[in-house]
Order: sequence, then structure tokens, then C-alpha cells
Amino acid sequence: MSGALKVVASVDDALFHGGRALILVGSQVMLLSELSAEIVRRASVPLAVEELASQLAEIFGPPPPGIDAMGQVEGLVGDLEAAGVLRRS
Amino acid sequence: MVADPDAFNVLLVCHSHTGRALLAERLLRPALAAQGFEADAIRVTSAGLANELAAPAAEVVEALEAQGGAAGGFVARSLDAGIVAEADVILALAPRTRDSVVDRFAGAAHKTFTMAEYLAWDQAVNPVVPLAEHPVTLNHARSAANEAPASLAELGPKEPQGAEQWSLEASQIAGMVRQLVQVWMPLAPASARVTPSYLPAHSVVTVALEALEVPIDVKCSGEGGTALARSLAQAWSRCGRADGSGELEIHIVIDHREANREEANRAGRMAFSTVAEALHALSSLITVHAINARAGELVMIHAAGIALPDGRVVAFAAPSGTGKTTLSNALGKAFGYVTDETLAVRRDGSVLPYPKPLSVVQPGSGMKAQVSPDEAGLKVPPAELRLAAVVLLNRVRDEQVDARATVAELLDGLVELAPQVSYLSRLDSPLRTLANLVQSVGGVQIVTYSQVDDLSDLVPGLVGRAAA
Repeated sequence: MSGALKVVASVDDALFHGGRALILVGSQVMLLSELSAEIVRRASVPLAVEELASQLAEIFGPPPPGIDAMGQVEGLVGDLEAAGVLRRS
Repeated sequence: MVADPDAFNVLLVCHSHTGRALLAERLLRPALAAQGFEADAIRVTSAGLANELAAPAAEVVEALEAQGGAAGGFVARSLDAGIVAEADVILALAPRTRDSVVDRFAGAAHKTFTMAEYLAWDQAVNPVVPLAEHPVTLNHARSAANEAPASLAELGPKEPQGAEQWSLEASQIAGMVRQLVQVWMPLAPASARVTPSYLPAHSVVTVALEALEVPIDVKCSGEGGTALARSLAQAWSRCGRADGSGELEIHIVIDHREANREEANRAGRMAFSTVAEALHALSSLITVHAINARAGELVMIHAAGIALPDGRVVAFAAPSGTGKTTLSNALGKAFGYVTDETLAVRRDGSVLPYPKPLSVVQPGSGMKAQVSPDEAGLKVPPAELRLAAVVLLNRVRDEQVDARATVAELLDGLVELAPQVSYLSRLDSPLRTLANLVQSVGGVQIVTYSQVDDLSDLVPGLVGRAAA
């Protein structure tokens, strides 16, 4: 994924509660983990993945040693994109 | 007034596009037209996985024509993200094709089935939902199940070779296409079919019903029209309407002669050879028409509803085929019977009764008998009804457990409940609306049980959590 690309949330409705989120995409309702919920919340405006990773690190702290934060965020973003929750901007 | 949903977009996929998907597309379109569907109501297209596309082979075209289809104007195309995005359901002609579609377009997994798989899940679940929600409902059943339905019979892994094999394959696909049309017929919106036109020599008997406060006239005609009207009025005894004209009309012909049924279909009427078949289809048809008409206005939960003497209602939500009717039949004798299928709630928490006939599974038959709640001895609930509990049923079949209720965390409960809500996305602020409703009754409760009779003692405790 190129650093120049931005992602933006593409959900029809969202309900945030207790850190997690319930989202509606078309007729599909999905429950998001705290990390994914925060991605959707942050991506309410177009955001570069690098910026997203940086913001998530501020909230959740740095990943354990040996874990690539950027790679982890890219993986989550890819999953959310495949599910129609995020789209490229 | 009646909602006018967009077209239902069906995408058929095989590897080459010039074999199985071509056959399916060119057999499905005329099969839908022959049942009186408007050309643009159910939009059937097809595509292939291959990048290099050829012209259809002569033996494929011959096999298609032998089944009454035609390949004229066909242009092969490769599947891409835009085609996938437009589809409401993607029907692959073989398991390997379905897997390839999902590999390439992971976000489409929830709407991608093989055609045989789609039919098998419908047969297993038999959901009473609007056509637009049918794939999502079947996917929910598929996701929750440990194994495929017993009736699943897929086409072979490889496309046929030679005229004889293609002829057999076309015949198999034609059979599945006929089943698809039968499945979709009662679930399609009223606007999907051509406006019924005059049929000579047809006297019509009208049965005036009301479902979810939608006045519906069922116009019965043909040689069995009078018998149908009589049986319908009896089975729907608690949904009869005394006056006024119908907002919706459903036209049904009963005739044992296939030619007469075909003529009726062309004239925009649904036609059946027996009264029992028509009653079975009408149960879904009336419910789906009413749901379509009230989309966006009511929270409509796939749930059995029973009412305490003071009007407090418990909604027992569960997918089709998981015991709502059995529960209604058992609890409806001790409490008031509200519905066995669709529990409709207004914004203020008041409940609309929908005391349709109990749809009772007939062993060894694909049809459900329609039993009047009066005939079944179910109690009439109070006039004023209010939602007091939302329950998700968790039946344990392989061991005996004591019936118990637990309250789910808000989002965990909502994500399980949401697939059981019709037209959720049409509500204003859908998730907040559903959350408010659920919170007003103390959250979603999960009831674990083995025997439906054990639930009776649990009911008073279920309603105790509702806000005053």
C-alpha cells in the first residue's frame, strides 16, 4: 500500500459503545474490535495510512517488540476495505 | 404506501462465461418473464472468471435452445469489481467458481453462493423475508451452520464436454432455474410483477385482509378460486378486514391445467394447481408485501410474539425454521398470541399484532400447513400491546438443559439481533433506533433452553427488565 493513498470510512451508520463499534454497510451489520472501531472513527475524514498508524500508536501505545505497527495497521485497513467499511480516497 | 425497492440484481458466474453462466442467464430471464415478472424487477446478468473469452460453442447453444432459451445478442465479459459491486446476489455455477470469486472479491463473500447451495439453504431455512434480504438471510444461516444442508447437489467440478453432456447439464440448470423462480416468486415486491390484466371467464372472489395495518385484497379465481377464498378466510381468521378497499392486491388463480396457469402468469397472476400450494405461498406473500409496505416506519423483527394479560409483549427472535411457530403454538395457549413470524414495533414501543395463521411444517413435504390461531386454540391478546422484552432463542437440542435467560452486552446483542430485523437500513438512524428500542426493554436477552414447554415459567421474569 502506498503511503500517498488515503482511506476514508464508507459506512451507512455506526454506533460506538464501550470502545467497540457496530456498523451498517448496505444491509450488513458488523461488530468491530476497539482497534478497528478507532480506525473507522479516525477515517471519518480521508487519512493516510501512515497518519492513521501514528494516531493509533498514540491511543493504544506502541506494539510489542518485533511487531511491525505499520504492517499491522495496513493489514487491518485491508480487511476493512475488503469488507466495504473503508475505501480509497 | 408501498415501498418501491430497486431492482434485485442477480449475477451468474462460471469460468468461461460461455458455458454454464450463459445457460443459466438465458434460461432464468424467460422463466421469470413467464411468471409475470417485469423485465427490470429482477435483473439477470452473467460474467466469467477467465480473461480470455471466446464465443459460445455450438453444442452449448443447441443445449440452450433445446431447453427453450436463446443466445441471441450474447456478449461474453470478464468479472470485475464493478460487476461484483452491482450484484445483490452472485450465483456461481460450481463450488470452485464460488471460491474463486470470493478469493478475488473478499467483500462479496456474504452474497456469493453456488446456485445449488443457494437453493439448498432456502429449502433448509425457508425464510419469510423480502427478496432484497434473501441472500443476507441465507448467508446468516450458512455462517451459523456446522455443515451444508443435506439437499445440496452441486454441478460437477468441470464444465461438460460434447453435445450429450451439455444437453444433460442444460437440463439440470433449467431445473435449478425453475426452483429459483419458485423461491423468489412470493418474496418479490408487488411492483416486480406486471399489473394483472383482465382474464375472460374468471369470476373473482375477494378476501379482505389486514397485515401490519396494510389493507390487502386477495383476489381468488380459476376453478379453485372459491375454495381458496374459503380456506384463506378461515386460516387468516384474525387478520380479516371488514371494510375499505385494499391498498395492495394479490391475484391468485387455482387451476389444475398447466396451460391455464401459464395464461394466468402471463396476465400477471400467480397460479397454483392446488389450494394447499396457494395457501403456503400466500403466507410468505402477504407477510412480505406488508413488510415492504411498512419499510422505514416500523421496527420489524423476525420473531414470535406472546403477550401477558396486561399487554406486555415478549419478542422471541430467531431465524426462520428454528421453532418460532412451535413456540407460538405452545405459549400462545397460556398467553396471548401476537404473531409467529413478524413482530412489528412502532417508535413509541407499541406493538402491532400480526396474528397470521401458524405455518406448520408438514413432515415429508416442502409445504407448511396454514392453521388458524382460532383453530389452534390460541388466546387473543389485549388490544393495547407494548414491547417489554427482546429475546434471542438459543435452543440446545442434543442435551437437556434448564431454561435460563442472560442479558447480552449491548453491541453483542445488537449484532445478533440485527439480521432478524427487516429493512433495518431504511429506518432513520437505524442502529441508534434499534439500540434505543432494545435498551428500553433492558437489553437483548439470550434464552437457552431445550424444551419449548420450559419457557412458560420464564416469561414473567423476562418482562421485568423493561423501563417503566
